[in-house]
Amino acid sequence: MKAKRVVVVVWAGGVRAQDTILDPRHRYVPRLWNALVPRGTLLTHLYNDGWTNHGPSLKALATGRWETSGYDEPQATGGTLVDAARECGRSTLVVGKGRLKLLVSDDDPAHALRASLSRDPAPFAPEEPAAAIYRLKSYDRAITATFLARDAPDLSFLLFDDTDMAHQGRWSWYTGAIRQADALSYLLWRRLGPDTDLIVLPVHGRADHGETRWGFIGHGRDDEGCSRLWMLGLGPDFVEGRVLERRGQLIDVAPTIARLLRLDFPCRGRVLEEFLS
Amino acid sequence: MSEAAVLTAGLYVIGYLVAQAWRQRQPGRVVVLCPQREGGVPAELLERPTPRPAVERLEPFLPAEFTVAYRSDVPGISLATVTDEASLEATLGPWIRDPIFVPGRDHWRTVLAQRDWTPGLLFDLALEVLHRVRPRSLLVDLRPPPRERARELGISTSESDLDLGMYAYEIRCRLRRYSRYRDTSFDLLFCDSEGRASRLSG
Repeated sequence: MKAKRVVVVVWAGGVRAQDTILDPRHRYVPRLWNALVPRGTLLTHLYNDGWTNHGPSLKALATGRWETSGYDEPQATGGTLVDAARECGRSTLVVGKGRLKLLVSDDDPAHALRASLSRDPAPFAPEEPAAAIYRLKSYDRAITATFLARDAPDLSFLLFDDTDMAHQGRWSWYTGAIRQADALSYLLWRRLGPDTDLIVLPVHGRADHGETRWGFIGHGRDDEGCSRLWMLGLGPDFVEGRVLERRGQLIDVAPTIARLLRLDFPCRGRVLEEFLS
Repeated sequence: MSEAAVLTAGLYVIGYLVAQAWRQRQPGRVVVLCPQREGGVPAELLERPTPRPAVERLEPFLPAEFTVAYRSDVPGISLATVTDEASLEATLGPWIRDPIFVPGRDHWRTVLAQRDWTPGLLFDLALEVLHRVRPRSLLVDLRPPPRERARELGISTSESDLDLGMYAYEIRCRLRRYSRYRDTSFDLLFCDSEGRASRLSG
């Protein structure tokens, strides 16, 4: 593997594939679709076959196993990929609004940072159009700014959350949060060095219109909207312009990242060999 | 043998009559009214239900077996008439006991204390009514009153036309889950201040 560092941007607030890569116009993810997908490898049929809520989904991502313990369980029941990296002497960083213990057992603030809701436009410049995409207080801007203020370690996880504003029932806020996540992911790609792999993926979706009681407002079931995901890989370990329509599972992501970092990480998922160059 | 034949013929006739009655019954109708304050129907909604010719008069769309609105005098739920615990029970009591779509009673008490009536609550109530009552016709009026009046009544006006239209679209999609509404007509009307409306159907 060629990269020295791996940065994983997790759209953890819940976003449907049909509102992102499956939208024929890609209106909410113009940067991702027009600028990033042609430069990387896109896996279009990744699925969360577990419980499509925040805690269990993050656990499945972190451990490579379907986790069945409670929604509020604060800690992953098994060793996580980040734990494994730390045990091998690799530097790590997890930034999010919370639930950090799902990713790393030792949530020392030296490598597990909580970002607060903020009106601050950073990392966008105040006059930049992207700063006005999502006018509400944001976690995602603060998470990205916090990450960029540090030296990137060997493995980083950024846990975006703003799309979960959809629970408020406002379509315009939900789609604004997607557009901002799109702009932030693009900004990160521009700032990262050529020796870094960037992986972007959601960990669960939101219900299809008319499903799971409230449609896009909710999530947590097994309909296509909640479970259909995708994953984009950019950097020296990914082929440019490749779109893979093979099926993968969320639990396959951790062993695949472990392969990039040359880590031994036994789990239930498989390495997505076809995703790597 | 002849008794069996008579029984079979009788069952056939009854089945035929039931099938005819089912075919000839009045198809259901669901209408959702939204405000049009932003110069036209939001573009994202034009891609969903089918645009139809504009409507000059709303009256033909208003009669319904059940109406969910902020303020209404017809049978149904008139949300903003809730002013205290007693009217909460009288207006919403049956709907907030063992709720499926609407929030529980504690949440309603908070909303009542803060006087914060939102279209999301009307949306939840519409889903609850559809699920529990299955009225043949339903009118959901998401239009807030004029700003001053809305302030007096504690009705939120900050939602965009698009946000309100997407509530309507979720209702339309929800209808597909009930066999009773399989052949129901759905109309989403964006009403301007002059009484005209842009119409989406399907």
